Amino acid sequence: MKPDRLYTREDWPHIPGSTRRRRAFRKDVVELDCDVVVVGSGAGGAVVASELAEGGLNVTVVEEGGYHPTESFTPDAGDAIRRLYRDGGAIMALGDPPVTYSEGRCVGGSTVINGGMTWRTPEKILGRWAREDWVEGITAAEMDSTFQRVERFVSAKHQDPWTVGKDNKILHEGALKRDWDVIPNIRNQFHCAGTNNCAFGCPTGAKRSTLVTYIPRSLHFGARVLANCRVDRVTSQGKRITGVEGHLVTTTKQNGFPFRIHARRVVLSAGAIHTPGILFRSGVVSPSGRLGHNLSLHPNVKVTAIFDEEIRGWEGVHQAYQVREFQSEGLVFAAVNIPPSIAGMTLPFYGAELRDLMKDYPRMVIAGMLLEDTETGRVRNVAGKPVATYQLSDFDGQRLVRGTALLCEMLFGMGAQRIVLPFEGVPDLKSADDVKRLYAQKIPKECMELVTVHMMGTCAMGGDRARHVCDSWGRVYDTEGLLVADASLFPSPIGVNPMETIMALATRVAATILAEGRVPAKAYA
Amino acid sequence: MSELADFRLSKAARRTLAALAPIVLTEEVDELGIRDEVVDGVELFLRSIPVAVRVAILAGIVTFEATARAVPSSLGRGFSRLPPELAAAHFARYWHSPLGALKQLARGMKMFLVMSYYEHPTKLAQLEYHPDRWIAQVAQERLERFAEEIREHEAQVTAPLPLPADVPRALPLAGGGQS
Ligand SMILES: Cc1cc2nc3c(=O)[nH]c(=O)nc-3n(C[C@H](O)[C@H](O)[C@H](O)COP(=O)(O)OP(=O)(O)OC[C@H]3O[C@@H](n4cnc5c(N)ncnc54)[C@H](O)[C@@H]3O)c2cc1C
Ligand code: SF4
Repeated sequence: MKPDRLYTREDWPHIPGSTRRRRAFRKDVVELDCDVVVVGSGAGGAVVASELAEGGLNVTVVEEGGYHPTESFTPDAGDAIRRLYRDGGAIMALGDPPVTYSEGRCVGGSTVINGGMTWRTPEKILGRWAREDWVEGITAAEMDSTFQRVERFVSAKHQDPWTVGKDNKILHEGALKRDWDVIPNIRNQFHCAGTNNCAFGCPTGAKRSTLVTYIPRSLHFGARVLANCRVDRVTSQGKRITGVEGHLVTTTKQNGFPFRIHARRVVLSAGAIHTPGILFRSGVVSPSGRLGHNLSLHPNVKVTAIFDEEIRGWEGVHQAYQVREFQSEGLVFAAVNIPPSIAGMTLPFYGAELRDLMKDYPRMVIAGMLLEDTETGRVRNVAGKPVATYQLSDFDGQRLVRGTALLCEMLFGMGAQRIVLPFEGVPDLKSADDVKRLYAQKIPKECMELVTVHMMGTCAMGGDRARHVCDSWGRVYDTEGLLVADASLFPSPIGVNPMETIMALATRVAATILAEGRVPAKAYA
Repeated sequence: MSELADFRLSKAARRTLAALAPIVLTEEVDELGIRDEVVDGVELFLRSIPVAVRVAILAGIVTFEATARAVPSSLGRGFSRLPPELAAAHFARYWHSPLGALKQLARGMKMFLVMSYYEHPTKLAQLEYHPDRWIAQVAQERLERFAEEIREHEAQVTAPLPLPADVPRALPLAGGGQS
């Protein structure tokens, strides 16, 4: 059943509290008033909305994606990708090699499809943000209570031990054998059952995505959530924000009802690709000239190792451990099972070669790494759409090859018989000796198959309006009433999974708005 | 606009993809009797991708079909009318092409077909991949073991807990917060 005050396209145009402005020969415009509009309902948006609603403000959350409750989540990967992912998960940051990125587009945003790793921002990174970006109130000590609050709401905990599957046990044991630092993941879960369906929506509700935490909390404290509604632009009078405009998303080529929401404050939480996109479309000019710059991606590569024994990687929690031994080099390793359709799709073969390899699906361990990248890309506005470009640096390319070699050595040490590499044209490895070849080989970065799920940094916060797009509290420089609360705020990549950092920053943004107090919505309507 | 409910593959594009299926997925796709359903799955997937990508892929499929005619051994036939060996050779030329666009098209078509094939229940049953059974089993165990704790935890989701004063925040600015 749909919760109260959450509206989907079926409810339009009869949204309680709205008025309809009639127009000749065109669709009526649906108009609403509130104190704060929050654009996006993921890690940033849902947190801001919930804190503001509990703080007594009249909040409207506008979310482009649909509402898909826990009961609708199944292991049908194709169906989930079509419903929960933006553009079927098939979007690329252009470059050589391109980086395929995925993001959520549903109520709950990417938290609905993420792996649930919940890590505080490393102290080293917070220190750097304070020192180099002049971010205020960001030291580990100052942020401690904010992190604690987020961790409480999303239930950040270690896994129950019986939920750990064989692929993760292999990663753990292999790392211990080499005396590597390997740690159990902290995840936003409450007695996770280990279904391994995180990327397609948690079918038990154990993963505490914003869909089952901050969104119900927002609704409970009076917020309104408009699903299937896309914000096209922020409206303003001079530098003063007056609200947002957008349209209902339909399933045909026609746009649905246009809407206009009047509010004195707008918080953009559309993610690091779409928040700058909305700002560009709204004609916002950052005095820094850095809007859309500074895109970090934490590029990932993965290897597919075939074992003699059955692994059944789909039985057990998604990513129980992380190898942190090489974190100082910017590399973090994990075992990440993916379903046969996605495994088959990404393996660099077809025909009999692919068919025969896929027969080994139950014997596969799929492991990958996250790289804290040193190069940045950019989001640009192309015909009203945000387009990302990103060029992997040679240095980062070399680190990915080294990371792959280390991971392969460890997997062969655990009994892998064959490893398929993420480097096109580079033959599979059959033994640990082959790995030596990999260390020595110069692998052109153009042949790397890169993916990412961590887009960050395109509206960086900091104390210098000549370098940053937002101030330390998410307020967009040179505007009044416009804030950002999502992954765009990161001044630099953080080298660990970003969700908790985003949630903590969003909590600060909400605290700042509450400290400023209520400003009547009608003032500029 | 993505998420189009009314997008349909043209008959010609369906023919090309159906002819490509046994090359990418082997003759097994016919042994399982699911070639048409695999193409249906591709159509479904194409609905969810960005319009520019969809247009590019559809144009690519047309080109792939038509360029087969230019090969002398094809005797003027399009890809979907070629005998199996010639059809396989045509796809291999794209797959190994030094031209990025052709290579990407081959990979794109392969990805859509493979995605759809390995989503098909018949193929998954053949692989003995039954995540639904696993999910049902462990979800049930979770409920049996932790029902009470889960109920209490869910009740906490909406329990009041105002923002404490020690969450860092900006000092209020005049005029609603110009920074
Ligand atoms: C598959 C996957 C696995 C991941 N695993 C982890 C993990 O284990 N741990 C971790 O810490 N992080 C993980 N991440 C990353 C993490 O989930 C994201 O970094 C985080 O959710 C981003 O938060 P956000 O608020 O910036 O954007 P999102 O959570 O993506 O939310 C943005 C929302 O804005 C909406 N939106 C966009 N444009 C508009 C518009 N114009 N109008 C209205 N709404 C709009 C989108 O539909 C979306 O719902 C993963 C991500 C993915 C995709
Ligand atoms: S592994 Fe745990 S958190 Fe992930 S989908 Fe399954 S029950 Fe939910």
